[in-house]
Amino acid sequence: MSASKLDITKSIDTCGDVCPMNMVKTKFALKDLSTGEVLQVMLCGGEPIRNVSRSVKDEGHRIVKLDKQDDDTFIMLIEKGE
Amino acid sequence: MTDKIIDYEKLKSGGFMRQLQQGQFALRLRIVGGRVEADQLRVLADAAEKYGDGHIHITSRQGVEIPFVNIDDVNNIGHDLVDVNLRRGTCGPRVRGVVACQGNTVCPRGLVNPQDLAQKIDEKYFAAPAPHKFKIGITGCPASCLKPQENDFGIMGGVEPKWIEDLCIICGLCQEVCRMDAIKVEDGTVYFDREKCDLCGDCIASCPTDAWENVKTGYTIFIGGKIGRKPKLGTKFVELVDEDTLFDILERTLNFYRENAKSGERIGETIDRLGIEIYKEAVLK
Repeated sequence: MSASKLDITKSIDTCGDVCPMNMVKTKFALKDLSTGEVLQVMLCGGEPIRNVSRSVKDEGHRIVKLDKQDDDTFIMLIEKGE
Repeated sequence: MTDKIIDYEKLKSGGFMRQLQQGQFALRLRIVGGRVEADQLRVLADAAEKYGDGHIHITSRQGVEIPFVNIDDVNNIGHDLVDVNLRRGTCGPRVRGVVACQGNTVCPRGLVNPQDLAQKIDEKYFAAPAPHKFKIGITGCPASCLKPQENDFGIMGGVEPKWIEDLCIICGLCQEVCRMDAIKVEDGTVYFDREKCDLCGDCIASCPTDAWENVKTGYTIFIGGKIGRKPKLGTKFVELVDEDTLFDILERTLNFYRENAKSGERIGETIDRLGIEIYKEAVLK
């Protein structure tokens, strides 16, 4: 499954945000979505990716794809849970 | 009163420490894992005003002390505190107050419950005699906030991850979250280097498809850590043991220490002198 084939409802960029703001922004962005819709999050490696992936899972959403970019940032696609 | 009729050693074992100021003592309390109830705090505040100079000292090991208690009040202060189950602490050559983080009772990263374990260890071993001081510290995960490596006997919660191929979507997230470089996602498969893994469970917690399973939760133990004048971190010597085994090892460790230590030796020094293999043989039966 490639990013282009998934219907992205909303996209946010959290690069440059300090933890836990990337997590908070992701959380709020997911709030606006309906179950099954996909959020695209741009984030940095290391702590941000650790924290965001953990909290997304804890709250019942699902990461469907992770793409590493050439500049060592990541594009994460999250499907909103129930 | 003169020094001759004061038994300092007895006072010390009951948590009273002689201050620089003549006739003044600091009372150390028996706090476990840094937990103090609100009603205890109120009584502590009152006691500090009634018997001390109105302040409380928070110690480096999650303890609480009431300084400036007059020698004449040494017997009275305990009566006020006992109603809220605040007991006197200890110092000297004994098992000291157990320090612990909040682990999985509060922390999202916590893998075990250090508070519960600290209570059990405290009940069984608090102030037990030893050749020198014997400090126990418990931390809920490899982040080591409670610094188990600085303790004579350090305990760290951990989990054993196992990769389940059928559930994996090869997204690469585990490789990115792993701080130990123990996971490589390459050529459509996952390579796990158990030697590098620090048992933190980040891969399990973050995997979107539960393709990393926790197959064992347990305690990793460090022995012989200390700070003081000659600091030395404890040595990790066993991983992911269960609670019963942990208690067996602790019991045997104290016996080993009592049987083998020279006067004034911390257990790390005893083990350095005899060799870690001798210690391991004695405690890992």
